[in-house]
Amino acid sequence: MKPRHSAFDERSPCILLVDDEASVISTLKTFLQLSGFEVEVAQNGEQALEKLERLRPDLVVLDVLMPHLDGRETLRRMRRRGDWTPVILLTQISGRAERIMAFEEGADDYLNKPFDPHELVVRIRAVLRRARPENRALSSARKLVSGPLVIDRTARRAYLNEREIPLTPKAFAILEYLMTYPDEAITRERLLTAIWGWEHVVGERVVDTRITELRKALADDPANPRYIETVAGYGYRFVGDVAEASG
Amino acid sequence: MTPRKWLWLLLPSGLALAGIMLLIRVSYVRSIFIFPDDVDILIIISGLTLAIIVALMLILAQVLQYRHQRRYYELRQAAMAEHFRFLRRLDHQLKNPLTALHAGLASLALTLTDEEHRQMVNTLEAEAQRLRRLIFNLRKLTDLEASPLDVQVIDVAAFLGEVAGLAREWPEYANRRFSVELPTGTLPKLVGDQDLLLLAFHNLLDNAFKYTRAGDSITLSATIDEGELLIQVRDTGIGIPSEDLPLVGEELYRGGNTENIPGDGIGLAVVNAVIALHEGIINLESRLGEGTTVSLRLPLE
Repeated sequence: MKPRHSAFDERSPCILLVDDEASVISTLKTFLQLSGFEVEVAQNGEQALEKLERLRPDLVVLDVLMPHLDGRETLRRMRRRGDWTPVILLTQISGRAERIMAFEEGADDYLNKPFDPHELVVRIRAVLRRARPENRALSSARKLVSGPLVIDRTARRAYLNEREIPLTPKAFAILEYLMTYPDEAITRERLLTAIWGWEHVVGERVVDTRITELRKALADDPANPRYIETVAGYGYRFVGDVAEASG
Repeated sequence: MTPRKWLWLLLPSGLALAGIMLLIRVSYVRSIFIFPDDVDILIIISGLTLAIIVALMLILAQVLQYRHQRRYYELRQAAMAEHFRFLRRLDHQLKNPLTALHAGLASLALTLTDEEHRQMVNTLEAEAQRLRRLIFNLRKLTDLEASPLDVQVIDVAAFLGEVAGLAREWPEYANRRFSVELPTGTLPKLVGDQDLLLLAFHNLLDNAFKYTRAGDSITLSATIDEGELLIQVRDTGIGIPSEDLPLVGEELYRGGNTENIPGDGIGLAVVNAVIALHEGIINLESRLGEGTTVSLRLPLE
């Protein structure tokens, strides 16, 4: 990971914040500004689409539930017109269905409301770091590949050296999540919220059990990992290079 | 239930007896025609009629019971669905104000310079965090109903070992007498969602440790009873007042004797939901000041 430095030649990233709730807009705008971002706001999808063209922000924080043009439809229209500005969706229900839906629409990441604003800043920084201009995010790719490892999102199958490896649905979902955010340390809580839909004290064990399953299936040595690295006292990180696979 | 089982046994034996008597009569008298003085055949006929009446009554009772159960189940499902719709509406109304509160407080924490105000903001942030957790817990509860179980075969002994392992890490563990009782033979395998069951048993043990005092004992046991897996968590703790007993399983409800013990009133509701998803039955017995026993019955394949 390269450290982010606040060099003078580097302008602060511009975030377009879209939400119909005035109280959320005003407080979140202040917090994001205090965290070193430039912030523009829009109160509905139409306004967001218009401002996107005019202001060219580096990232959009987009609420899903809005009257008139909701977040999903806004995102769909953006992607349809070839606009691949990174998007973080603000959703309201947790769980697997929501995650799959968010990614299918082409979001780069999503957070459940109500969220810890510090977590939003962590996600914004992570998305900006891996943003590739004019490129689709890994989160919307159908197949991901890292060396001999290939996962097929639609079929929910994983292959190692072209042989399918048997994984439980949860283990697959973890692998998928880690590969979508390569080189990013992901906390166990984040995996839990994304895959199980709940945060809980038993979470650590539950996640660790699946990671053990994954490592065994991938023949990955935790001491010298090719794929999944343990980040002590934090969570896990996918260390292999990940690219979108064709076909 | 048991007396009815005996009635079911009576029926075929009554029929068999009548049949044997008929056979004896046919072989001795070599006639099955009925004469007015044939008292024995009259006995046989009345016996048969009685058997048929008993059979019809049993069938009717069974049908009525089945209907009653189905009706009860439907009513319960409908009530649960309405209840969850209410929780979702509540969630929906709370999420934006809480998001704003969080962001506002976090901004304040970044800008305030004097110590006294910072402390206050920290306290408020912790409270907002608590509300956020409550919303997520309620959400989890409503999600449980909607999401499919991730079913696998579970080794009961190993699973309970893992459950007990959770408790060993708690600070109260040092001054409670905690034991696990398993039958000497091997326990059959259980089919279920291991992560959800772990969550349910965690909550049960968590309650047992929370509502006991130093020196109290807590027992986690498993046996096979009437073809079902019976798991019990028994403690010698503060107990539940009898008027609270029917209500402690509902969200946000807490017993009247728990004021000084932190909790959000979600734990047991989660246990209820998880056990219901596994088609199990939960039963609470408690005496105030003496202790509580929670019994879970889970069907085995």
